[in-house]
Amino acid sequence: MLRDGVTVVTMAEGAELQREHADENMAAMLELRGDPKLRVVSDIRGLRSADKGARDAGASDEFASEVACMALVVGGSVTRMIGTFFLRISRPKYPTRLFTDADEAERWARSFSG
Amino acid sequence: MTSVDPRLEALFELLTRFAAGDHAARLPFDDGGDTVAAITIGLNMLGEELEAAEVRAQEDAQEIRQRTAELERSNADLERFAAAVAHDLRQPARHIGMFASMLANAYDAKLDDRGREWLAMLERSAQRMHAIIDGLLRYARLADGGEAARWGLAAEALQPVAEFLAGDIAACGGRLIIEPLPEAYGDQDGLEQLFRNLLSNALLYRSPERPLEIRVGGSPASGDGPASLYVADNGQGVPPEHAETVFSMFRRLHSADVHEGTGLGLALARRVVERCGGKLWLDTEAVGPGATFRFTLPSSHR
Repeated sequence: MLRDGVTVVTMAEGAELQREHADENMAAMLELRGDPKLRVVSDIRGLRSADKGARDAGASDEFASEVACMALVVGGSVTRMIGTFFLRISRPKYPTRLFTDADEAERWARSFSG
Repeated sequence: MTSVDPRLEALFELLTRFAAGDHAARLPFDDGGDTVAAITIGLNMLGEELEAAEVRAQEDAQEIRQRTAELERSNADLERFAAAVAHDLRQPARHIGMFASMLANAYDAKLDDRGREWLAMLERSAQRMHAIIDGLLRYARLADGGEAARWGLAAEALQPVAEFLAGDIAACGGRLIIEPLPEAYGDQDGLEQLFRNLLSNALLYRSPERPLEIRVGGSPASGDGPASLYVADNGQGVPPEHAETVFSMFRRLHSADVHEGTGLGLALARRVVERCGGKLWLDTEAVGPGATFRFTLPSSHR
């Protein structure tokens, strides 16, 4: 969903994110966008896992060429672990922050001027 | 004894398997939603990263092996080419020197000073060309390993070389000090060539600021290891940044106008030592002026 220039992606409860899903998500986001680069809020509170393929896709140069920033909304320990692993180990090449509050995440992404 | 939470036991087991190198190990999804579940998923993700790193390391190692093999093939081709060229050039080089000498002898009275000077330069160039070709051929023969080695003590190979160069060393006011050498073995012809090259270099690159001193010595093997020997001089030395390049073929630190030499001596010396199963290197941490070449040789007869 595109909201005030910010692309909001919500992971379904119990989803297990893999490489092809990451690619599909990106394709969908590109169809929606108006800005030159995407400002993304990715709500992963429902995520059960994210395999290496998905993490590598998210951190790839290809993603970085389309994404200006990404706010990851995390919830409990599991999604916090997934988010922290993505941030610290996969090291995406665009600004990425973890949030526990979805509204705060959107405000950050909206204010992000790159 | 208190029982451990089976989920924690599973985590310990996974960590143990990672430590043992089993990076493919994983735990099933833990839907507990608590800290243990978070650690489980974190460790599973870590396993994926370790597995990928292991694959990359194996691929890198394979690439290195392939490149090394290509380099070795390329070096072998170059050496064969050098040998073939040297072999074909030998006779023409000999003829040039021979006819230059004959010209000098037969027509000396008819030549002016310039003519005689040019003929002398021609003879010297022919001799130098001959020396380079001979050096290349010796290097190629060592690379082939075709000739049967005549094994013996390094000390025995040193003796004739020391006697041969004694006059030249004394003539420049220098001295050669030979300490007791350890029991070290190698191909006698090759070792004579090695000592001749190292001692000749010491003579060639002596310093004008002090009398030449060359020391040859070593220490015996410890255990099953090789014996260590050295040839050290107090001459001009070699800058540390050239410590490896001096062993390259035709690599010279000075032009032929400054110092004569074929640029093959150290490359040959290293090849001799390697063929005996040892190593030769320039000691860049040696104290004092000059150059110290260290090499290892087997401490027992083949």
